[in-house]
Amino acid sequence: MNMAFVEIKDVVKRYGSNISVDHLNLSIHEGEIFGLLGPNGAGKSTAINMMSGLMKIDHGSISVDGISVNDRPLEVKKRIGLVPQDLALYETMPAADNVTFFAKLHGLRGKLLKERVEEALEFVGLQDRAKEMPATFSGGMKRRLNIACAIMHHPKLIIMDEPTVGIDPQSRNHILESVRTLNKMGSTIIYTSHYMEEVAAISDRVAIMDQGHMIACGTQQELRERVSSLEKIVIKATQITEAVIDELKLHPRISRVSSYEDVIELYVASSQQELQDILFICAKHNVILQSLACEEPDLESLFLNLTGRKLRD
Amino acid sequence: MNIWIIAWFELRRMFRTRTVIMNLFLLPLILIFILGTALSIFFNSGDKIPDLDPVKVAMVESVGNRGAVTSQLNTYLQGPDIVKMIIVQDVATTEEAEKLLRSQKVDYVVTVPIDFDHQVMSGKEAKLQLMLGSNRTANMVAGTVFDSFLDEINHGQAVASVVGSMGLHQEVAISSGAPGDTHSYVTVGKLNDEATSYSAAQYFAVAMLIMFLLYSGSTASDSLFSERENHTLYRLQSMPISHAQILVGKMIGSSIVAMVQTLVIIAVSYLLYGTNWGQQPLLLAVTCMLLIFASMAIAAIVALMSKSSSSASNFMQFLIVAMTFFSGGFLPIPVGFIQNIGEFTLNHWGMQSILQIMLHGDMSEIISSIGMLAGICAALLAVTAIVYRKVGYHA
Repeated sequence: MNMAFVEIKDVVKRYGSNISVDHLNLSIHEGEIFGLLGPNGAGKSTAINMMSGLMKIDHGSISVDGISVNDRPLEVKKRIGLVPQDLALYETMPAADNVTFFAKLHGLRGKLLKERVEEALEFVGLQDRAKEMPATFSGGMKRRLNIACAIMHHPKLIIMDEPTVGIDPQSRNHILESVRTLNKMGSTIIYTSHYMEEVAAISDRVAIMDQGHMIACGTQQELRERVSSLEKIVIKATQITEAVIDELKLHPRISRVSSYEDVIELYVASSQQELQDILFICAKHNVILQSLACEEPDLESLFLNLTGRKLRD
Repeated sequence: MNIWIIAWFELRRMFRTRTVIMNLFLLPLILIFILGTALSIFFNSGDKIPDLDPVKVAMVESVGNRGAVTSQLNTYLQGPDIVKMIIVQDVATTEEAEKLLRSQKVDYVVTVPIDFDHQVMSGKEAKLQLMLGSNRTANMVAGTVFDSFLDEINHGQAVASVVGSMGLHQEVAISSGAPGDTHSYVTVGKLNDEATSYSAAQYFAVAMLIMFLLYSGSTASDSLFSERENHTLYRLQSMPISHAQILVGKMIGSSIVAMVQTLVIIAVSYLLYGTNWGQQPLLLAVTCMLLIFASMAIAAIVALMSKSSSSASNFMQFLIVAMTFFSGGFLPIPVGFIQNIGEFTLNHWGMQSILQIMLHGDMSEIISSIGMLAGICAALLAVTAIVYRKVGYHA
């Protein structure tokens, strides 16, 4: 568990004058589920593309299982199963043919090929739909087939790039459960998402990226400790105005204030001490409170604390 | 090995697509039938020569004009090939002949002038008085028959003017033979005795075969783009295979589809329309293979350099239609500069090669056309390699 399976050292990727990944350093241990969290455009997908040998590295080095991605990309690719963010399926070919095609490209043949294709389809719960075209599948079923096409060769490292985008909660839970099972079967997992709850639910360790930088990395406990000195107050209310938010932001002992729809989130050193001031400001601006709760800080809190923005901004 | 896995998958994927089957297999066969039937009027070739009714000619011979030359004319008109074309009716006077022409009882009137023999024997140009009817085809047939006779006589006059009257007598004797000889000045036959003319069906079968082989390149270009648009290229590139293997595998798959397409077009056009594809299957196969390679190379260049599938598709369409037009693939165009432009097209050299194969043409001409195609292929493949190195095939 302590051996670095993926080692990223001082990696830089530029697109013209824009830096997509800026001096990224990361060690991912063998057998862990590693969450890569960050808003859209944070550089997660670029980092993944470089790890998978799909994109050239401008500076630095990446090794997977001790093999340099720069020097031997095809050897690295044999060890990786990549679940792309976008569905990458041949919609006019049966589900089993999709998996078989990619399995053949990973060198599987004969009886083993047949067994692994059946196993992968069974794993994602599509064994009964093997002969059907993906064009007839629901979004969740397509997502699951997308995963089957990446795991049939039993890769040592599975990289999942936003695998739950745009699907129903039931399929999402199925996928998250699959990730845990794959990890128990021995694969190291890198799971990227901008859904904090998903990453928090399955990851052993988490790295948070923003604007090409890694701004935090560690276990969830370690990350929470970085913001544990703060408490989070969540106010649900109506008639929230710009004026009330501005005045709350001016309060010297309120660290962060954000609002969306009919919710105001505040981070304070002590909720007991500051609550009276907060209620007074709200009353002054005729905000009608519906509920008020004090919560423990989470990864969202950490991101907000570090960047001043919410993950979904 | 991975190249063949990709090629085989590409092949299966294409044969599952109905539009591909329609565009690559059914459409060319339908077009060959339509164009071959509708435009056969432009081809005076191995098609059966239409049966024409003999032209009725009223001939007026002036009284007392029964010299050697007039006798020759009468003998000529009784020749076996001539009587198939014209039926001569002797008429006493020009007025009577004109009346018959006006009433359309005859199609053409020829009057032998009173001094015809004298004029010819004195070395002057031989002339007949002709009166044309309303039927242009009948006029053309009769005119050709009499012009042919007069040309021969005037040829003799020309000889006489150079070598003297002895030469004239010898020339007349040689050219006309003995009195009563039924030798004809006209020989009816095909311009090409060894089946060296082609029918409309053959011409358009070749033109459409080549055009649709080029369209198979367009299909390949679409396929390269669809991998990008469906994000499957991204997944393919995460597999342990090189990017070049992916491109080559897909091109091989599309080429196999084009080869099957070639076989189907040749076989079905032979069985259904009786299209004769010649006796050189190996050379025919080489020509088609070169056209397929060229088409795939163009497809790869266009797909690698275009920003969107629609722009690639539009460019391919334009290129194929333009090349087919300038090479005369839609209709032979007897305009010099268009034919000159046509020589810069793949279609031109492909058609030259296959039509020569069909016509049992000179081997050196066939090899020359195939050589040109091979040269174009080599150049296109070189450009493809350069473009690939520069641009690559990426998700």
